[in-house]
Amino acid sequence: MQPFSSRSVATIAWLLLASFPFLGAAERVTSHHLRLNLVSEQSVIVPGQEFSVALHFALDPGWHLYWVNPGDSGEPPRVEWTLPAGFRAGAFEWPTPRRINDWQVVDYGYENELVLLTRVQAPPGADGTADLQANVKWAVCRDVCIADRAQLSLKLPVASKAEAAPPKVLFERTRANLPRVAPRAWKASAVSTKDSFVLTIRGGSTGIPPKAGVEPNFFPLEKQQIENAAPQKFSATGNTARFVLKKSEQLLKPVATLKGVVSFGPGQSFLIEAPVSERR
Amino acid sequence: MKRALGLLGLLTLLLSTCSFAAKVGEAAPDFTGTDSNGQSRKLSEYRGKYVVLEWHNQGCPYTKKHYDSGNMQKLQKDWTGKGVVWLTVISSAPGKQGYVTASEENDYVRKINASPTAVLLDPKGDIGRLYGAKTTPHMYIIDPEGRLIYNGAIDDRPTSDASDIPGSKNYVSTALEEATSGKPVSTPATTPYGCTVKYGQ
Repeated sequence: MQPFSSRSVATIAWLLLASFPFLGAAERVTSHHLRLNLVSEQSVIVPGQEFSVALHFALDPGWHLYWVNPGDSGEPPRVEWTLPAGFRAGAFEWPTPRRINDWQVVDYGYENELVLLTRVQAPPGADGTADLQANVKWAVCRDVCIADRAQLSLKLPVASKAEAAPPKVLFERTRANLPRVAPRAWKASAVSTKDSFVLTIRGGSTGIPPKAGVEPNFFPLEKQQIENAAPQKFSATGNTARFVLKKSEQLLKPVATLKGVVSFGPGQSFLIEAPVSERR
Repeated sequence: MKRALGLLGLLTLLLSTCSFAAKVGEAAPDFTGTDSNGQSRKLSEYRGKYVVLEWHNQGCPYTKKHYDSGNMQKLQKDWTGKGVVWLTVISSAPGKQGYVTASEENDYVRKINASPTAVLLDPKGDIGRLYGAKTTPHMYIIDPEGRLIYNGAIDDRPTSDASDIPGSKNYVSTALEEATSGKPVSTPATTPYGCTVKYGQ
């Protein structure tokens, strides 16, 4: 016997939301192998101010979604916003992904959950209730892929003073895993050899974070630079971290800059841009 | 000594299977496969013609994007009409998505009105691994001298959304148009997109 059908759970969720309007009209959809929720960090919108919203994907075990550079297969989630006049939404803030392996194929993505934050700017003249609508498309994969989409909407009242909504902890937890801009003292550079890029990060006065249990990784923002499935050889000596990255077989032109995220462990991811020089 | 040689042999085998992937500008690796009509097909038998290889999985949303819209069928019709050989390759292992028997594949080809020259059934994944085929679709073009002149995506819109096809740049058509008019291929390698090829162990 099934204690609850997904429909009855949805009905209960709807009743809860309807009876507690301060939660905001966060719409939730259940689809193939995931549940998707659109939530706001603030329960009200303040005219002229910026606030964050999140698309929260909760995935069934074994299924994954993709980073902005999906790696060897798949595609990243994307959104089209329909917003009230004068509202503007920024781009997704992508959390640090992980490597997901299949046969000689490596994807960059997320298992269990993915929270995509977006900053929304409210116009100075905002009033009444703002309806934020998101048309979301994604590919969710395990051994097979499903291309899917959903329409979500979030209605928020306009008020003069900001008010944090209960899901604030979700936003804080997500921000802790966003890549940060690399410290100023760091110097990232890369040398192009016949088959590899040797990416070197010198920590300067700030230092390089110690390894935190997991093997450090470099996630390229551009496709077609490195061979995703090749093992990344990491080494650290004193204040210098080094990755040996196999060049992509699809790479035909010299690369001027390696741009991506280096991850030394949870909460220790940094955006870097490394100018590439040819080995002399 | 004998053992060392054995080890060396194994190493060489490992190395040669790892550095497999077909490289643009080099000779395309030759292979023999069986098509969905039970006929044996050898790549080198098509010397003198352009050959397109299309990795395929009928259950994959990225393959469906190009078949449900009729895009792939049109490419097949247009280019085979100009004398190009089009080989669809299915490297899904038995039990995995996209695996089909010969008669299932023939029914499918009829139903969706596809017109490849032949469909190669590669359930062991030998041809797929030889070429390093990563996704469905993953496209390759071989010139009349047997050289690989294109390796990569079908077009520049890496999504499963058929509405992206009209505004896209088709890399296969572009490469074939350039090559058949004596020009160098301007974009000979791109990152393929789609589902992973469902190889067996």
